[in-house]
Amino acid sequence: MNNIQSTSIDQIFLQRMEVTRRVFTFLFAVIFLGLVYRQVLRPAAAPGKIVRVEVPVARGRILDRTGTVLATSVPGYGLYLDYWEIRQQEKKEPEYLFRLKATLKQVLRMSDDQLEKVTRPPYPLVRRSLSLSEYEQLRKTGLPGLVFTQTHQRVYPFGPLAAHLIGFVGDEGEGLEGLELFYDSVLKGKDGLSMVPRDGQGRLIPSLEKVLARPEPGADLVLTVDFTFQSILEEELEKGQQLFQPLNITGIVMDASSGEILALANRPAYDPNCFFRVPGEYRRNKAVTDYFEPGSIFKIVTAAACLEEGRVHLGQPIFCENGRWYVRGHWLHDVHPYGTLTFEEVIIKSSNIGTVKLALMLGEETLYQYCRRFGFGELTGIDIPGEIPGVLRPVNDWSGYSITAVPIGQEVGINAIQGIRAMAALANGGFLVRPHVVKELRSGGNCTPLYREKEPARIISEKTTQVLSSILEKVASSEGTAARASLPGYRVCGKTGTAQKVINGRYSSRVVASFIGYLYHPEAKLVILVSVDEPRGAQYGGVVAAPIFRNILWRILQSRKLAPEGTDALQTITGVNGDRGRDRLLTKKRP
Amino acid sequence: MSLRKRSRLYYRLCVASAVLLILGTTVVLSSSTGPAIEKTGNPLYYFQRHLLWLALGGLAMALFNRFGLRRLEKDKKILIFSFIGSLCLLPVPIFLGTLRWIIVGPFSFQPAELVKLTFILFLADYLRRHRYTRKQIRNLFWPVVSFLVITLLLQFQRDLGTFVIIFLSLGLLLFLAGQPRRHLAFMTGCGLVLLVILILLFPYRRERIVSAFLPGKDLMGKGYQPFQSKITLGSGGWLGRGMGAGLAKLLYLPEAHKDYVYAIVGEEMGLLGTSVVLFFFVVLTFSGLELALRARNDFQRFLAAGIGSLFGFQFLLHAGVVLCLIPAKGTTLPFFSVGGSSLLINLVSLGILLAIARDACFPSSLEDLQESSLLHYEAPARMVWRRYHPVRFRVPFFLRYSKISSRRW
Repeated sequence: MNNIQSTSIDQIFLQRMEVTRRVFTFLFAVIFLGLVYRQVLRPAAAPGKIVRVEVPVARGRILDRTGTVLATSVPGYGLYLDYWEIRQQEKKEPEYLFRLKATLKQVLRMSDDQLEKVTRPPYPLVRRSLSLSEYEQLRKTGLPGLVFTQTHQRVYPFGPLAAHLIGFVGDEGEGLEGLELFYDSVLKGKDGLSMVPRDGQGRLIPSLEKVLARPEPGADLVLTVDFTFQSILEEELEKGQQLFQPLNITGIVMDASSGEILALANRPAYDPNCFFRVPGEYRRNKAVTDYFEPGSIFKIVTAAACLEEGRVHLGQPIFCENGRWYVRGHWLHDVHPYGTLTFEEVIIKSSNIGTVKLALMLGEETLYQYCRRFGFGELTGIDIPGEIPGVLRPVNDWSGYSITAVPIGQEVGINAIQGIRAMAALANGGFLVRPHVVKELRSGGNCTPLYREKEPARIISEKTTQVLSSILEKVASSEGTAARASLPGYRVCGKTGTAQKVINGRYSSRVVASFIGYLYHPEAKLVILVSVDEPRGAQYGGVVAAPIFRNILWRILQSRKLAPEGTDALQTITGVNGDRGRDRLLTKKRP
Repeated sequence: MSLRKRSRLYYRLCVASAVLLILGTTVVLSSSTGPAIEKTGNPLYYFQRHLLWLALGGLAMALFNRFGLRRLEKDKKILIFSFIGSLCLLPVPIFLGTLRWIIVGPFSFQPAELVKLTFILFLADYLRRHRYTRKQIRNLFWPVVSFLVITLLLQFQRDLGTFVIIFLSLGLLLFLAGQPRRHLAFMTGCGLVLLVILILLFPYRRERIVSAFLPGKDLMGKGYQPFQSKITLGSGGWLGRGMGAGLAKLLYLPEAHKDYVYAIVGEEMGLLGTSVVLFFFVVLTFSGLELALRARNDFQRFLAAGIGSLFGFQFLLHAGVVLCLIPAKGTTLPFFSVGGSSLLINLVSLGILLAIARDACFPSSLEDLQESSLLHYEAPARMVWRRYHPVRFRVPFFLRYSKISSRRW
C-alpha cells in the first residue's frame, strides 16, 4: 500500500470509504444501544390499552310446573352521564350541559332537585333502568355524554302471585328474598368476561377480543307450584282476608306423596315488581319464617302415637272430667264439657283433657319421640330461605306441666311447613316427605331434577294412618269440629287448631286459627293448610280456617275434574252439591 | 481475493434484500390494519396496495437489474433527463392541491422518492467525469445548484426528511469523490445554516424539535407521538407481543404504518425483531459500501456507495425518530413503511445495486476484472485486531476495517 502515491485519488477513495464505514458503524451502534435501552433496560410504561369487559347474562326464569312464566328478565338500559364527553362538547357549545339537562328533564319527567342530585359529578348514574320508550327517545337525540349500559330487568308478570315464594331481586340483580335468594347462584348464571383492546380513541375493538370466561346464562327454575292452584289459593286467601281481617293468613297446598308444594301464599301480599313500597314485615314468607303454637292440630301426634304403640283401640272409653281437670298443679279446660268419650271421639271433639290423658298413658319420652318422628323441632329442609326449626324442647327441659301442654299443642312452636308435612304423613300412608318448591333446573335443553325420588322415611304404619284417617274424616263432618270443611261425596280428613297466642308471657284472647286437611283419594293426595293469625269476628279453626280450606279444595277439584271415588266426574262437577256448598260458606250458615 | 469470496458479497446482498422484503411485507400487513380500517373500513386496504406495488416494483427491479445498468452507464442523457424530469415532477403536487402526492386513479405517487434516486444517479455520473479535477471548486457548481433547486422545491411539500437525506448523500458522495476537506467543511457549514433557516421558517418544525428533546412537555399535544413511540417500543421487551398482536397500531401511535413502523416492529417482535431488521440494514448498507470498492468502474462505484448509504441514511433517520434521538421529520423505513412510490423506488435501487454486485462479483472476462481500478489496492486481509487475538474467528464484515493513514484523506 505504501508504494502507491498517497495522493492517489483511488487511495483517497479507499481511505475515505474506511472513514465512512466507521461512521456508519458508530451510528448503527448508537441505534442498537438506543433500542436496547428503550426496549429492555428502561421500557416506558404502557397505559392500559386492554379493558376488562363483563358481559351480563340474563337471570334464569322461574316457571311453574306447567311452564307459566312467573319471573323473567328482560333486557333493559341504564343511563349514565360521561362528564368527559360533556366537557368536550362544552368547548364547542358552552350551554351544552343545560341543554342536556333540559332534555333529560323532559324525557325522564324528573324534578329539578332530583335531576341535580343524579347528575352530580363524578359518577352520575341517572337511572338504573330506563323504560323502552325513554331509551328510544334519548338514543334518538344522540347527545354526546349520554352513556347507556345494558342491564337486565327482573319482571314478575303476575305481580303479587306467589310473591312470597318467588321473592325478588335487588338493583344489581342479586336475589334478596324467596327463591330468588335461595337459588341465586343457579339463577344468576355466570357473567362472561373478556379482555378487549381499545383503540387510540377509546373505542373497543371486538374483533380482537380475548374471551376469558364464556357467559353462562342462568338456569330456569321449574317450580312444583301449579299456577292454577296458586291462583285459587291466592283468591281464597284474599276472600278470607277480607272476611276476617287477620294479621296474616298462610295457605299451603302440598302433594302428600312427593312433598311437592303445589301452592303457597300469605296474606297480606305484595308486588315484587315494586317490593320497596311495602314494609319488610310484609315481605317475609311467614309459612317458614314464623312459628306458631299449633294447638289442637298437634293432637294428631298423640293420637298417632297411641295407635302406633297399640295402647288404645277406637272405642276405648276415656273420661273427660266434664270439661275441668286439675292435673299437675294446673286446671285444664275443654271448650265444651264432655263426660266419657271414646278414643275416636276425643280426637273428633278435640277434647284437651282426653288428649292429655292419652299422652299421660304414653309417657313423656314416647310422646317426645313421636314429636321428633313427625319432624317437629327440626328444619324440614324446604328450599325456601329463612326457615326456622320451631320450638320443641327436649324432655329433660320439660316442666311437670309440659306433659299436659305439649299434646294439645302448647309449649311447642311449629312452622306451617312442618304442620303440613306431619299431616301429609297421615295422607300418604306414613311417610315423612321432604317438602320442596323447585322441581327441576332447565338450562339449555337440559333438565336437572333437583329432588330425586328418595324413599322417604316411614314414621308410622299404614294401618295407623288408615285408622287415623277414618277418625280425621269424621272431624270434617257434622259431628266434628270442622263440619265446614266437608265436601259431600269426597273423603276429606283434617284437624282444626285454635291456639291462643302468648303475648307477654300469658295466653291472650288472640288466637291462631288453623286447619290442616287432606283429601283421601287414590288419585290425588292433596294436603292443604290454612292458618289464620288473629282473625276478627270468629276464632275457631273450624269456623275461620275450615271454610277457606273447603273452598280451596273444592275449586282445585273442579279445576282437576276429580270425581269422588266411584262416581262419575261430570255429575259431580255439574251437580248442585258443590254450588250449594259454596253458598253455605258465603252465608255463614251451619251445614 | 478469490472469486468464491467475491460471490459471497453478492449472495449476502441477495439474502439481505429477501429478508427485508419478506419481513417488511409482513410488517406492512400487521401495522396497516388499524389505520386502514379507520380510513376505509377494509383492514387489508394498504396491504393490497402494497402487494400491487410490490409486483410492479419487482418488475421494475428485474428490468433495471437486467438491462438498466449498462444503458445508464453509457448514456449520459438518460441520467440528465431523468433527473430533470423528476425535478419537474416535484412541484406537480402543488398544482394538484395535494401535499406530496401525485394521484392517478387508485395510485398515488410521491415524486420526492424518485428524486432521491435520480439525484444519486446524476451525481454518480457527474462525479465520474469530474473526479480527476477534484480540487477545482467550480466542479461543485452543478451538484450544489441542483441540490438547492431540490431543497427549494421540497419546501413546498414541507419535506425536511428528504432534504436531510439528499444533503447527506450529496455530502457523502463528494467526500468519497475526493473533494478537498475545506470544500466539504464549507459545504457542511452552509448546509447546517440552511437547515437552521428551514427550521426557523416553519414553526411546526420548531415545535417538533422541542417535543423531541423535551418529551415530557405537552404529552397530549405535540409530544404525543414521541411519547407513544417510546411506549410502543418499550411494550415489546425482548420478544415482543407477537406478530399482529401489537396494540399501538390501533390509532395509539399516529402514522404507525409510515413514519413509526419500526416502533411497531419493536412492539410486535421485541428487541429480537428490531435487531434482526437493524442487522439486515447494516448488511445492505455495508454491502453497498463494499461494492463501491469492488465495482467495475467509477460510475458504479459512486452509484453503489450512494445507494447503499441511501438505505443506511433512511434507516438511521427513521430509527432515530422512533427512538426520539432526533426530531420527527417523516422518514419512511424502506420496505417496511406503507407507501407505493417509496417501495417502487427502493426496489429499483435494489435492482441497480444487485446489477452492480453481479457485475463486480461474477466478471464475465479478464478485462472486466482488470478494468476495475481499485482491485490493486485491495486491502490485504490485515486485521490489526487479530494480531492480539490468537483465537481464529471471523470478524463480521462490517467491523473489518483497514488502517486509515491519518496523513491525508
